[in-house]
Amino acid sequence: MNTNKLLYSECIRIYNVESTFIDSLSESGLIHVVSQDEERYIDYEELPKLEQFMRWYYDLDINIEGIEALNYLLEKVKSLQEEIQQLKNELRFYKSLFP
Amino acid sequence: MAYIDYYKVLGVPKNASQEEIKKAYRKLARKMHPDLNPDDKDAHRKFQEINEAHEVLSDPEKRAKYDKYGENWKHAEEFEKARQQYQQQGAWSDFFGGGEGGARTFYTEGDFTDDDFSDFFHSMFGRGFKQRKTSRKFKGPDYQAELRLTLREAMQTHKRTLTVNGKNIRITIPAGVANGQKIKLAGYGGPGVNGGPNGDLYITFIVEDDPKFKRLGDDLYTEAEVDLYTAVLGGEITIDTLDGGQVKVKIKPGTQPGTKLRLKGKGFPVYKKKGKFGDLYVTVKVRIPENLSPREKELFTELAKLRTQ
Repeated sequence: MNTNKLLYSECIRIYNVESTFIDSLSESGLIHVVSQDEERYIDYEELPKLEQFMRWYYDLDINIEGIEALNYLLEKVKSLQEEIQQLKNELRFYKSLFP
Repeated sequence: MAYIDYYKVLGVPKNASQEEIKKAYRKLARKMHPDLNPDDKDAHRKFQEINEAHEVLSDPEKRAKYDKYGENWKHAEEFEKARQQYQQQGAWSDFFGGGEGGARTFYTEGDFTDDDFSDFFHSMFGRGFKQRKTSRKFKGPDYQAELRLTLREAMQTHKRTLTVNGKNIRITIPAGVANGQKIKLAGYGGPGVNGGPNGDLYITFIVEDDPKFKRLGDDLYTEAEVDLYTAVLGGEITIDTLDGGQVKVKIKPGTQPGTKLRLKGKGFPVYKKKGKFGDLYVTVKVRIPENLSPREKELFTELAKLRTQ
């Protein structure tokens, strides 16, 4: 039994999703499906991402191409937010030099 | 408690069909979904409003009740009180469907609980609201919290006890956390849906300014006063460090005011790199003697003359 990975078939059963959905995510590189000993697995760390994509797909009616674009933009937003925070800290430092 | 116009929230007319309501909800949910608006409290609030409006208008029973009482929600409140009273007596029929069930079609981030609905909603439809059961397992909602630290606290790995939703959590804060930095505590968020895993707790650190030390990345900046004679002739001064220690620093003869001295490895600890530290930069402030005695004045005048000769 692999404790860090979930069997692909188990994943489909638990989440009650179509295999084509996970396959599409995997083909787009959004989810990493690992093959090992003739079985397919999904790493536990991938599950929050998978759940998020399910919400977008099933609840918000966003297709795979849309998910790809959104995911890319959100990653970009995250890195920009980190950069802004770093710049804010630097600005705070320089402002403190000239009170 | 104010009346909420659910039709206005979804931007649909009062005679909108179920299809129009669904379409309007999806369109707004795509804009305001918390997944797509990370750390945006305003969007999250709007998303809750949209969900609430959808919860009512997509359920024919709730919609009919809302349309009937709507702006006269106070009557509904009275009704609700009566319902609760009857419920306690076990004599209430299911005529109004209670405050549970509903035709909720869409799963929403973190799932919705009683607390996510307005007082207006509760007065109309009661508490104890539960969403329609779904067979899918989902991770619970992520929680966000802020933790304030002084600069001194942030430079040492230490433990803190936080109270999140009534639970005490003891966490270890690694030395070197930056202002605005977030850490994730897996499993300390809201409970999962249908046996899914708990959400995560995200803690944002707010590192307060220190009156004596400034931080830029892993480096620290401070000032040190040097008397005129040491600045001119050279010598040694003692500098306080942020961790409460002291270091001795040599001052070269002829050190100018504003000179920056770099003390390697005496700065801030590098986050999650044990034993690694930034540098401490010390700006020299030369203290000019005041209230000179006649003799001192005489000697300074003599020195000045020597310089101009």
